[in-house]
Amino acid sequence: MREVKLFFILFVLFLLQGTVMQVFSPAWFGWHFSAIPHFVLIAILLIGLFYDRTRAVWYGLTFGFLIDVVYTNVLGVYAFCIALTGYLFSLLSRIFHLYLVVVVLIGILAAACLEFEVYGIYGLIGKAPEPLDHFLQWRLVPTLVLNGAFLILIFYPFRRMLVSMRSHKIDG
Amino acid sequence: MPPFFSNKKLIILLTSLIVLVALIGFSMKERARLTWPEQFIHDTVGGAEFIFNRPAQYVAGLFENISEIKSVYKENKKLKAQLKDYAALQAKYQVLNQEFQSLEKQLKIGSLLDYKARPALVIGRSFDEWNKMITVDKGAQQGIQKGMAVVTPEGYFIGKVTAVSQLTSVVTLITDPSESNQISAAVVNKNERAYGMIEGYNADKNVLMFEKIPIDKKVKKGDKVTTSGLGGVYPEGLLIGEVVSVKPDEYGLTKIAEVKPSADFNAIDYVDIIERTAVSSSGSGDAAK
Repeated sequence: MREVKLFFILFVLFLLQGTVMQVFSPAWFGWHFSAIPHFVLIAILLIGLFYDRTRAVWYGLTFGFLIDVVYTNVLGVYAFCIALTGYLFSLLSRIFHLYLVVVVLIGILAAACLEFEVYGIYGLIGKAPEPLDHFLQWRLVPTLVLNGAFLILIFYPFRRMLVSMRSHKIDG
Repeated sequence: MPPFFSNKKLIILLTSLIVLVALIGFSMKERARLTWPEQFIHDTVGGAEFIFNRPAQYVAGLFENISEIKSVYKENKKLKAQLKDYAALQAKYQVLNQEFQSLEKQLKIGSLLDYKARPALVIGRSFDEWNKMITVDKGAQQGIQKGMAVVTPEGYFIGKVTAVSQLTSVVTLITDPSESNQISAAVVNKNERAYGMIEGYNADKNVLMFEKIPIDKKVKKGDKVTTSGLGGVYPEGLLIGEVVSVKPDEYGLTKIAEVKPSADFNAIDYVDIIERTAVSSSGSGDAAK
């Protein structure tokens, strides 16, 4: 049941990325930069840090693949990148105490890492013709700010849910 | 010190890299239609997207209305001034249109300009800005086919349908950088018309790159660029934009024009999907010229 709830939350985040966040995009406010919502990645990172790393990878693959099918025309890129990034950065839970500040830093790094991975792969197949300095200036920084803010917003409620899920799993 | 990756993990990583490359290869090639699992995902997600997007669009529309009220008075004055010419233009249009239709009947060909527009609602949009794709709420069940042209309600060309599932379809905008995303376009001025291809987009300057224009054609700033109708799938004369600058290409064999698109790609809520009603065989296309 809890697992279903988690799936549902991830699905809603996936939908928010492509609907609400696109209606209220920076362009709608009249700004020139682009801020890309990577809410699914942030949620999967938190799952990896606080709940279960293997599950996080599976969720990453599933929702990454959904993103590939629905919002792009190249399959596999987001599935691979989100699963890999979520896994690598949730390994950091061994090293650090997971305070809010630390997790926000990890989240921002993960979002930056995902952006670079996708930029690299899309660059190889000719889908990202933007020059690097433009990418860094007009895209990366606002993206990191947006995702950092989102992480702060969901951190406490989502962590509470994940920690209780983990304790249930250990008990059961 | 234990290695960062165990052997097993390394093997999983390498295998998934191979799968990734295979998947990319599979999706890069031109496909006539979506596989059924893809169609299923598109339709399911499409329904859910609809539920989320409608309220958001409604709220956004409300804010836009409020900001528009401020400029209504000025706009009204301007429109009234424009309206003076309208009656005269309308009369002239009627005469010309009648003449055109009777001539067309004599020739016994369907017009390249004829089309039927199906209104559709935008229900989703690619969130990373590498892919410039929107999802609309009409699909194969409503008669949408791959390759149909898509315009804004004002009639500005924005892209074409690239994937169709049963209840939704995906529209790739002309600003998408994919190599397969090319639009045959024409520029028309007083003396002549020149054909070329829209082959890219410069987000910095908000201009489309209109390439492969023959070097001897005179294209100048302010000329209107429309779809050419040569591809056979979409009609002629859908407005794409206006030329802002022209230069020869790097080898000096053709010209490249920068075209400012008429449509605003950031605010698309409704679109019209264009179905050409004339017989769309290449034969009739040639006869019409």
